Amino acid sequence: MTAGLHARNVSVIAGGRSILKGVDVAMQPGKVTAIVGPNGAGKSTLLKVLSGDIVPQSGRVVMNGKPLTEWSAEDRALQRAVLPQTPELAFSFRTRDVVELGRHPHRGRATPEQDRHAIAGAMHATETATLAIRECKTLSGGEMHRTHYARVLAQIWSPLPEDRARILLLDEPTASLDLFHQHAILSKAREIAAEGAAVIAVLHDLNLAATYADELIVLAHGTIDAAGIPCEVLTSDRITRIWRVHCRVSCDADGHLQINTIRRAS
Amino acid sequence: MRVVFISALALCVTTATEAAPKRVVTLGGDVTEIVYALGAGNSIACDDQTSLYPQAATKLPQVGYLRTLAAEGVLSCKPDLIIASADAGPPAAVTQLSASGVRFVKVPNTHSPDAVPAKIEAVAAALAIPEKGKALEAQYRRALAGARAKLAAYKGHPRAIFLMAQGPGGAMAAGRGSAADVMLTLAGARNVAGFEGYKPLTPEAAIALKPDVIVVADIAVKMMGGMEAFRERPEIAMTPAGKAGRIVPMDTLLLLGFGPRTPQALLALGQALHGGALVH
Amino acid sequence: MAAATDIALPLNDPLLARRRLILAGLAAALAAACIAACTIGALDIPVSHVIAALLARVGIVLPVDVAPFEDAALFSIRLPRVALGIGVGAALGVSGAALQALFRNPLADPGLIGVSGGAACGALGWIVLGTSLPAWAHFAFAMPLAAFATGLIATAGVYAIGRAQSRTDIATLLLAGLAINALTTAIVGYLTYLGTDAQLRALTFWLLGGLGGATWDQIWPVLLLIAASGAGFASLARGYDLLALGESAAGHLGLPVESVRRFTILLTALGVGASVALTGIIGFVGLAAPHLVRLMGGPTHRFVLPGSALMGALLVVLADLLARIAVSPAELPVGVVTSALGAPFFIWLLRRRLGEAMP
Repeated sequence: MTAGLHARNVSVIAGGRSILKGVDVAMQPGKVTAIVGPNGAGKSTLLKVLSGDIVPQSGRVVMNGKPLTEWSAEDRALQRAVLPQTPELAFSFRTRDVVELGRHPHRGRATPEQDRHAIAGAMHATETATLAIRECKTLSGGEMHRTHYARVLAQIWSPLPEDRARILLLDEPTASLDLFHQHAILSKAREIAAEGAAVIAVLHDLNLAATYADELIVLAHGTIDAAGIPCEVLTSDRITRIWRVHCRVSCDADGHLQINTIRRAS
Repeated sequence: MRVVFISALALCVTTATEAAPKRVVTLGGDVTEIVYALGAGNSIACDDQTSLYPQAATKLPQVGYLRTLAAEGVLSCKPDLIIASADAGPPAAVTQLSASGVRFVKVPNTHSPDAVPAKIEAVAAALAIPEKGKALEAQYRRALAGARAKLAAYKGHPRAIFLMAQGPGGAMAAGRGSAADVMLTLAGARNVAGFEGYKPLTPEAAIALKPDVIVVADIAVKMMGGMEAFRERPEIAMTPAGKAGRIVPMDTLLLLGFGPRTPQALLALGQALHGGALVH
Repeated sequence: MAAATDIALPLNDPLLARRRLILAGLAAALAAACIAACTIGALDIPVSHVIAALLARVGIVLPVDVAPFEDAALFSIRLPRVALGIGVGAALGVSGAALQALFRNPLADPGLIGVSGGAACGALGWIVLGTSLPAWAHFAFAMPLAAFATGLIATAGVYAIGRAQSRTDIATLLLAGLAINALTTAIVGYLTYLGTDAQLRALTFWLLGGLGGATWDQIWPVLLLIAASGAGFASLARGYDLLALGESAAGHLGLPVESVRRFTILLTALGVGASVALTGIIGFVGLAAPHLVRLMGGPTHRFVLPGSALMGALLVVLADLLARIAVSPAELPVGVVTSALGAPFFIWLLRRRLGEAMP
């Protein structure tokens, strides 16, 4: 069985327009895959297809060896967690209650001790433990976002049986966070990947993407422009062509990439 | 529940064979009038909001409006007898009152002057004064016969209409089968409102019906701002009745109550319809 | 690591204990309100007589002299009202909480968003048109079922309108409710015109909302339907917590969102329809009860649903008490009392909400 998440030749048409065309990409367990691209490239749509929210007009998504549509909602919830771009919360629960919601798929399967361990661990990883009994309406935007991240982590806290890989989908997870927390979130994502999960993150910040991703997928106009390791994919030509900015790119021996923008292309 | 009901009933039976009731609640303007006409007015402890005659009745504590009674409200008067018009409502309150253990007498209410003797009989029986009842009935029948004789002397059937309180579509007119219809017809008029029941009368309909006389509830006139304002309304002013000034305000309990004063009401109505003068 | 776990999650969550206390408190307050409702009214029955009469029914005889008059008043007037008040209050409270969870908006209320109005059309249609139906159509559950059917159409309609947007904001809900309530007014107006005078009076009085118009044989089917809907709601409590995250996120956590939605709409229409059929429209209880309960113990639905049932019952029993003594010996329709108190409460909530992202 091939663990991980694979999009096989996926096309999505909406409102008469082609949003995604022939997107074929494999996201391996143990790696952080970043999806980058300019506005309107179809990144969010791709993430929705990968999470199962949108059914593609053609092609399919395969999760841990089985097509996504063949997994029940419960089984999906046990294997993959999704952090949306703007998470909602209609009522003012306490922070720890929100994180606890992430354990819902495990009811009847995990012991209360395991649940508490997952919740506590997730909250410590996102530095929300001190906010545990605070009501969510008293939190800042960044604190709220980290709380949802903790919920998502708690959902897939423990490794899965039968060589299934845990899957974590993050849609612009760094949007409302300060510098420290941006790096903390993505470091944690790398740790989870190191444990064997397949982490897929849509990122707009190319430097962050280059720093934390093992694999980069460049999406433009609904198709994949390039896929590979950051140093190979993010050349200054490609950046100029796709993002329309001039920049200087340097890649050192360890594979660390640095992008410096010069000015907007005319 | 049944045990309570039966024991309460037993209590009532013993009560019924005793002397006349001490605390009576009368529900319905006609019932109250009849009790006073029988000379038993001082046994009434409470009445309802429709009991507007005689003057003394309006000074008694009231337990609610006849058609929207609260069982508890009626019982709070601590009556040993309740005499209720058949129009008493809502049905649930009436059910609760009849099951309350207090003696509950319903008085039939057919809309006809000929139904009044039956009402008098029922009320007199409830109060255990059958002889007074018979006397009042006889007096009533004489008065009614007299009124009918006087009315028969009038010639012609003037076109008339009866208007009640203001609804959203205009004043409500009394059509076929209503109490007002019965009174108008008996007084020798022709009720031009051809529909069933009470319906709002639009200005166009009023003009099309061409009534020669408009009989109107006096409270309705007050609500519409007095007789001057009423006469100026287009649906009134443009009718033959409005143009000739033949508008007759009448007290609703007197006209439509079907109680002891019905013969007087018929005479007053007949005079107004045929006499051509405003009657106050 | 054990110490760190404890900081985040103390073994005995103090909130759970507080919630149990609040529920017990509400139950006690409800019991006291019921006793008060049995005692106070146009007809005053002393507390000792109430207790003695109640105990006598279960075979315990106290040395208290209860007049048969008082016993009859208690069992055929007061107790049916109290029982109906509890049932209807609980149904409205829980339905309000469920609608707020479904629409993810704490200002949803069965009356405001048109559910009660829709149910009223069915009940009113039954009052006016029912006489022309054949004999088999007349049975104890007939009017509540008619109200349920139209209430269901209204609830589903409001939901469909609200779904056209990805976020159901309160403006959309209120507008949809406005539309449905306007339609109800039109239908009521037409039925008013069609009806005979006797039906008209029944209609007008009923519309304003009152607990006094029912006898035991009308009440028990309604209480049965309400209890059934309550049991259904209990199974949805966790689902409502998840729905607060949004339908998409709730789906990601394995919740069968579509069936939770449908079941909620069904149960709400059942509970509200059954209540409206018997008592007319009693507004704002569905709005106030869940709100007050959330204020006391947080929004977790395993607490909010039973809490709203208790609080709703308490509010209606107290409102009815007020309705009976305010203009004694006549009675105000209880809907008038709840609206008089509820409308200012709603306006206050609306103003607060405009300044906050979350309740």
